[in-house]
Amino acid sequence: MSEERSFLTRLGRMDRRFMYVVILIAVSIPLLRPLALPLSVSPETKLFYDYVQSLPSGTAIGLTFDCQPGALPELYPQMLAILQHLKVRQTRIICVAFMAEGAMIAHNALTDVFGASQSHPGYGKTFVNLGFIAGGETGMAAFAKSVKGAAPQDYYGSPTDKMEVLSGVETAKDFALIVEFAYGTPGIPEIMRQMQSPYGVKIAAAATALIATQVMPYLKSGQMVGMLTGLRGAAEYENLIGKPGEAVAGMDAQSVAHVAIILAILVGNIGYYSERRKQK
Amino acid sequence: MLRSGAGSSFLFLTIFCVILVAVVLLVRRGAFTPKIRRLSQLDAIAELVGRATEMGKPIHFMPGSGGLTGGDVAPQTIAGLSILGYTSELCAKYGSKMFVTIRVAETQALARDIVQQAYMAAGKPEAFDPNQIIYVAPTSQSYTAGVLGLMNREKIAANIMVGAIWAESIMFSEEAATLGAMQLGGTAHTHQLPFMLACCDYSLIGEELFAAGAYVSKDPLQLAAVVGQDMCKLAAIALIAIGVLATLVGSPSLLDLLKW
Amino acid sequence: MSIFAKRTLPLAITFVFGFFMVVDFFFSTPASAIAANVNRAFVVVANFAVITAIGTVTLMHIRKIQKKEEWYNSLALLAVLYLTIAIGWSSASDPTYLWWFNNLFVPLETTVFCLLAFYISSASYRVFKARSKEAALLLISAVLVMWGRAPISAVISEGFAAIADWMMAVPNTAGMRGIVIGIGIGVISIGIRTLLGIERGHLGGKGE
Repeated sequence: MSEERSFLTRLGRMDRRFMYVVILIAVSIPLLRPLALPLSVSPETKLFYDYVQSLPSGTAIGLTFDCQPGALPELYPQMLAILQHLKVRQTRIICVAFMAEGAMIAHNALTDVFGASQSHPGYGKTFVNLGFIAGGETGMAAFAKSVKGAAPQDYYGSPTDKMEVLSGVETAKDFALIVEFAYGTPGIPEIMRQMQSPYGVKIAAAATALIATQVMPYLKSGQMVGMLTGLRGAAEYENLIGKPGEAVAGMDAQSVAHVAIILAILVGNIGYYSERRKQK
Repeated sequence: MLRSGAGSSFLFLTIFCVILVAVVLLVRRGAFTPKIRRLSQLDAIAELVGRATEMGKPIHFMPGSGGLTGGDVAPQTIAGLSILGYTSELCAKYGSKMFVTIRVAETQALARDIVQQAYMAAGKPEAFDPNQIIYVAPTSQSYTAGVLGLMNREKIAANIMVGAIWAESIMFSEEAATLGAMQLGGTAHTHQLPFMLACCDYSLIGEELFAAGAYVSKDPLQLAAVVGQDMCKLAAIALIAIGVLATLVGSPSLLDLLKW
Repeated sequence: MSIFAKRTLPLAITFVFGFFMVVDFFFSTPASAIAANVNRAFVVVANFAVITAIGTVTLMHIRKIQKKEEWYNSLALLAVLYLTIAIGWSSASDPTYLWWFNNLFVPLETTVFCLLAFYISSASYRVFKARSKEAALLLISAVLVMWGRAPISAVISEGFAAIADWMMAVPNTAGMRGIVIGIGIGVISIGIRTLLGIERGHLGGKGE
């Protein structure tokens, strides 16, 4: 009995490197051998999808790439899925970034979805990358007030004043929807203050799971029309548009990792209670 | 001309400002002495610094990883810098070594000035080392990698993270816990609060961070502003109650006012 | 430096520009163009701060190289720093810069962010212990949300996802809203304190 207790007590004091190996194995195995687990669609993802589905072709959609490369494992599949959907809906896609790295990320995403960016025949007509606008929240305010004023040139240095994709788009009010790829600051609270409140434009969030708790109140109050949360949100959206990709492939690994962490928590508690009993 | 959609915000901001300024003026005239409850987290800073001095190991201080732009980032950075001044003075008095890691360039000059003045105020200007204020990197992950390396190399005894903090909080607090460091965390970023509460020994939640500057300075006018802040919160609670009742009886008047 | 330069002047500048920007946020006036230029000026000042930061980083690492303290790491840092500046000098859309960004910067950043998974797992193991009733409640809600958000839970029952969605939508949102309202009021308070010169901790010294 004392040997068993000693083992149980040791369960509560495992070296954290053992945990790291467990997580590494838990994440790797499903990537090598997929489990094809079912995936339900959360209400907020469905709202997002339904809203985009309802948009007529030719409407102007703004995409703000406010993220750094660290968030790409979660946000990049979201970006690709949303861009693919918007491409199918034949909307006008206007990309902008209020974080410096976002401009390059937007270039990569457009290239992956359209096959090319600036050299694509549709560039400037159906989609554009306006590049990085400095200033954070004040940059957002300037963009909302005058799109072409804040971005007189696109990411590649071409003047924007005569671009077909921007015709009729003067202020934030002229967008049918603005999708914010949110990771930090500037992010959702800033876009709410500078675009949604003053101009009444519809906002949707594509956020990392880490900031989902911060973003959820805006969705529940009706200030946002939809939200994608992390890699799971990207996977749900890929299924909805009928193009399962990287995100769906990553769901098995995420499931197994969650189970591994839950088991680790249970094991830790067993060890903790065993130690408490031993002390009593 | 009032901008579209800004009416209600302006109205409530004006009301809150009037309350705040009124309380500050009352205290200035000696109408009452402002008192706020004890914030054990801030009292613990002396404990953290003392522990580091006894162990002969340095303290890591991070005044958030935000700068001075952004509506909710700048106030957190200012609060973090206020606590930096207080902590620096304690470090100077006890002879503890402290590293201040900075992510946003514009904060570095401020932090250096604050720490230097704290050392001068403690009567030890010669002990100030400008190399202890380290600008690490501007992006979140490179900053995280740099600070994790610093923590491990220097084997810190205490970790203080107060200000605008993002995903790095969990990594810093877990690494510091592995090193056996005592920790104080505080941010107004709601998505990081759970990590701080779970992993840090002491946590400043939300507006406790903003009260910190007043608490450590013991300045009556700053404390008055904190008291005024609590009165504004009471006003907000009353507004919520009125809103709930109005919604229950089907009256849209308050909602219409909020959309003005 | 005199008290006027260290205290009075910064506080006066803070008040004038702060008040002006607050008024511009709410009111559309002929001075709005000035506000736009003030914002641009701040962006320029902030970017000059980057230049001084690069200078201090360079000096710090040159000192380390001279003292031979892990000089190879410092040399690598300086080499990559200045190479990146040189490559990106002409344009951020330059193909070479994009190649550099996609093949060096992106993998490194994503790798460090992915460490989060390992840190969260070890933190969960260490911290989520049912030491008290509140800790037990935290533990149960964390497990329910994690299990509900994992697609594997749907194999057993769809109800787990609904529970997780409810916990995020109701108790979490309610708690977050309360904290956010308090934070908003705190931000107003510290803003007023800073504008009126009552809060001076960020200027250093005891604020006399």
